Amino acid sequence: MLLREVEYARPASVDDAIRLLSEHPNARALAGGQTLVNVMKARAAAPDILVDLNRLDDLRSVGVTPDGGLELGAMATYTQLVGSPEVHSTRPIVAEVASQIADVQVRNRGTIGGNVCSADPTNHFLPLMVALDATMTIAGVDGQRTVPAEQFFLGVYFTAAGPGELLTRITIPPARRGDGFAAVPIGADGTCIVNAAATLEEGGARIAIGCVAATPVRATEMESVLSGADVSDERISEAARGLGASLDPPSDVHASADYRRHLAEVCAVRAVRHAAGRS
Amino acid sequence: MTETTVAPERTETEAPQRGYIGVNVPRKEDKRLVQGEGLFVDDVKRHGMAYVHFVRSPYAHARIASVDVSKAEALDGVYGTLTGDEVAELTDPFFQIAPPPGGHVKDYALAVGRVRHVGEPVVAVAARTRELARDAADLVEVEYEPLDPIVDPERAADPDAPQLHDDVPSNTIWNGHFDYGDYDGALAAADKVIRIKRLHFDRFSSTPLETSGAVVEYNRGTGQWTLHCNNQFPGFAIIMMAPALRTGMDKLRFVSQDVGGGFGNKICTHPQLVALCLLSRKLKRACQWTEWRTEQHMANSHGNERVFLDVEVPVTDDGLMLGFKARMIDDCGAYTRYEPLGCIIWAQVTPGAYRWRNVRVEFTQVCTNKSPCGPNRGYSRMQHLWFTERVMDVVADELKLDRVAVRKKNYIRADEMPYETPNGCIYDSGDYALCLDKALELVDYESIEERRREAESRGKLLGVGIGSTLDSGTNNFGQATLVNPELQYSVNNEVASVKLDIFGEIVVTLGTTPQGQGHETTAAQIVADILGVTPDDVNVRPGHDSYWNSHAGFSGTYASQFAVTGLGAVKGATEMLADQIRTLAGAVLGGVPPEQIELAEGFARIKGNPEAALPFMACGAIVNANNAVLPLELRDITLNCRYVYVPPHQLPDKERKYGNLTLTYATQIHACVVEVDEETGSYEIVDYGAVDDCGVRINPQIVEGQVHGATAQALGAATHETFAYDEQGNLLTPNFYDYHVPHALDMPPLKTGYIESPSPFTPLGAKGMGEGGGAGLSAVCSALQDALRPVGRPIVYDSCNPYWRVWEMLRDPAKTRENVEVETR
Repeated sequence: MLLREVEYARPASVDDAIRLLSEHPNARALAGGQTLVNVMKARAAAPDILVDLNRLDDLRSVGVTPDGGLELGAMATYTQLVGSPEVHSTRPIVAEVASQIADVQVRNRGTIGGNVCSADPTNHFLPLMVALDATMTIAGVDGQRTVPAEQFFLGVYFTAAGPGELLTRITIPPARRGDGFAAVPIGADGTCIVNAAATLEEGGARIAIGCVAATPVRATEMESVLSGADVSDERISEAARGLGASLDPPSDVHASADYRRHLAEVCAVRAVRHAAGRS
Repeated sequence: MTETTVAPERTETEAPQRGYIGVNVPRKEDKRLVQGEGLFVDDVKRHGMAYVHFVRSPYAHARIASVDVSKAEALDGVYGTLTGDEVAELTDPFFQIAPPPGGHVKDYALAVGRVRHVGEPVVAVAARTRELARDAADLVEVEYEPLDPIVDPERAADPDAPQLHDDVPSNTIWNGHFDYGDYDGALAAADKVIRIKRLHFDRFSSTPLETSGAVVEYNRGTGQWTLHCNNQFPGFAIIMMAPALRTGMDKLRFVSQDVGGGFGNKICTHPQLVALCLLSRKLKRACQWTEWRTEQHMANSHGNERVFLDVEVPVTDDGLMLGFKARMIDDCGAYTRYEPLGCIIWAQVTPGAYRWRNVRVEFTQVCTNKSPCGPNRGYSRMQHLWFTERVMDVVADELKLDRVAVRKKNYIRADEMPYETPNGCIYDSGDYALCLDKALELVDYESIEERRREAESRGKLLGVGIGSTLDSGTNNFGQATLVNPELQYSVNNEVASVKLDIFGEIVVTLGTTPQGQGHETTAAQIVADILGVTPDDVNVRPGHDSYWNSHAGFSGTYASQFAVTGLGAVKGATEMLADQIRTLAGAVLGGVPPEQIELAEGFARIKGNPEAALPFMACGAIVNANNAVLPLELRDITLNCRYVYVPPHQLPDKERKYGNLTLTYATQIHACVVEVDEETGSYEIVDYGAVDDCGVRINPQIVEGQVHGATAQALGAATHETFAYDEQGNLLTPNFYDYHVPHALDMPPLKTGYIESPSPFTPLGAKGMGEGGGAGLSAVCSALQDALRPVGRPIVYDSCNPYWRVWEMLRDPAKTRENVEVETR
């Protein structure tokens, strides 16, 4: 590990963590480290101080809210989510998607908070949080505030959790008609080329596409076509028509913009079908 | 209570009647490796050692205007730096294998005056810790004046292309014409001619778990360097380094114990090693360097990219292919290093597995602003064999011939072995058709149509493909004279020493540099059989040390040859030792002739009279410590025998580029089944059968391991592994996020099979087989083309087919078909 010299603190309470983050303008919270440490090794990021959240057991909790939703501590690991009865009984898609992320070692360390806060556009949880209409609780020295997932993602590696703030909790509303997810990763468990998540609810759908822009993109046209009760395969495919053309995705070594546009339609259809299959 | 007794480590293997050859003797190496007790280069530490970090070029092509190391050197804990100017002063450019124009390339340990690829080392910084060295590297100020890069090998020789090296016009390193048989006659005799405009083999490489590295010490009193490193071909490194460093060969001592994978990528580490030699001398302290993964991707030797242009294949109506004609452009990257040997090495397998008698090839190697290429598992033959298999499928599919039948019609037959190819290579043994039958059986070929329909019902396109390749091993280095007639290289050699020590220990020293191939184990099997002991009784020294004096000019571990050269040397040395033991024992046991002495159970005993026996311990003691017992006339017995194995090669004919270029030709016939998602172009390998024939298998489990590894390498190369560059020469896949190697979940369940066609030319009937021929690459491409047949019959013309390429074939199959034309005569 060839990091730049960096201070390290391991606070014992969330308050301490927030205090440390707010006292140091160039501090970064260290969750599972599966992205941040690699980025630091590449010296693409060079924080002055790492605030290690791994002793904050409060942030590891996974629970059901009184209304039957899901409350996830930001430090819940993917492995925790995969095995959680609370997740399975409310929004099992969260466990399914967690199980698709990389390998066992990464899943043992990586956390849902880290996944969304690192905000890499190819991450799995970004479109899922948007589709599930999750609410992010962000704590700072002046107290806490909540931000809907859709407003949480502001850019590549850039979220609403600003300097001195910490994402503490993700709240997911109670189950709707069904949730779905689809992705085309590189190989069985590599980086996503395109991914999509969908939630079907009474009188509507929420569909979000990942990897096609800096932040997840809501497929609003498609959602409006699917606002009725008809979620037949034909209807879903019809709804996705034109989705690709509405996007302006990047080209890279894994996919041209055209290929991503195409995959966006395919993944959106698959995610909605997946959701419809459970409704 | 503390356990103080150390249990003896014994592998409980019963010796079968015929000895240990062919037995899965558990690997001697595994205990230390699985217990974390291996000794790799990064484990070597020295007092006051400096850690070295290389400042690397961010440009593909630029003039170095200035280098300022003052800020770096001022940092507390920095021991010093090394710049290109110093390198140019203190060393000579590395020896070039190529004749002019390629011979004009000037290659140094660090960039001198100009950088030619992203990641090229420009300055070396040495400091108290790795982190400090890297921090200091950030303080080195290099001013570059960017130059236009040339990235595309097909444009490298264009008149307006930027020129990489002075006196290398058109960026052309080497060019040669190969003409075998009567190509014009074949064309005239053909009923049909298939033309393929372009086939393209992508640039990729193996990515050893352990990256390159070294700890280099300089002894000021003796002028001696000791290099603890993982270079896999010290013989080659030394002949490159000693003249460059203006020192004698013996002044460079190479030492290694465990090496975490080589794959050829660790042959050309000599530039970095020279930089470390200079630094260790300059700074008067040991200098350590461990390459990082991203550096490995950016600047370690890549496998050669190759383009096959204007391919022409004359075919008769009954599906017999008479040969081929093609223009081949090979891209060796920025520097030549091991090149242009790749320009001849493909010719070891000129007709692939086929009876193609008429071949005409125009072969050109160009340099580009990309990482230098070097040997990589399957070196140069893999590219060519992939080409032969693509030709086979394209011809079969275009002429609507059955792919299995047409292969069998064109395969060299078992009854033709040993078979002389059109360029004089002698394929030693094999039965390709039988291997194909077995491979097809492994993937249940009979049921393919049924499975195709079943897959279709799930929206998947199923296809089956075949890869027929050869792993040519035990080089005849005389082939180097076919690229440069002035070179004084020929044949090959390897060394082993076997001795019997005072207490009767059998000690074997190899000349090789194993990287996981299990040399300690297989060597012990051979020795055990000859001396009548068990492999546990044989101590094979791990690793390599050139001070053991058990090596020759071609020693090393590369190019699929240990089972022939390494074990040939072990066999020769052990037989010498056995003869000495028998002579000694015969004399001591009362003047019995040596031929009446047998070696068994650790004794030299009189045949038919096992009571009259001398234990090995006594033999060792007499010669080493109790010389009065040794009869005067036997004083030349040393019980320490060194043997050099030299394969029976001759010099090839330079004029005709003709001769046997390797001694053995192991077979790989693999079959694979893929399922393509028609909507996305993503696909999965759902079934895989690998049948290999490497003659006598010394240790079948080790052979099996090599088959698994070679298959994984090929599947990675066929699916996702590619070193892609943008137009500015930036590497787009510099790490494992973007360069996707097969993970456990990507690997299909492998079904393996074998036949054994003993080589008539080798000491043990064995053949080298470690590289494989890239059969999996061909099999995947073949299967994809088969799977996509129902959607417009697209043609697979790249070796690497990530999903986007498959999607493009699905989207516009007609575009790929423009690449092919069939002429009926």
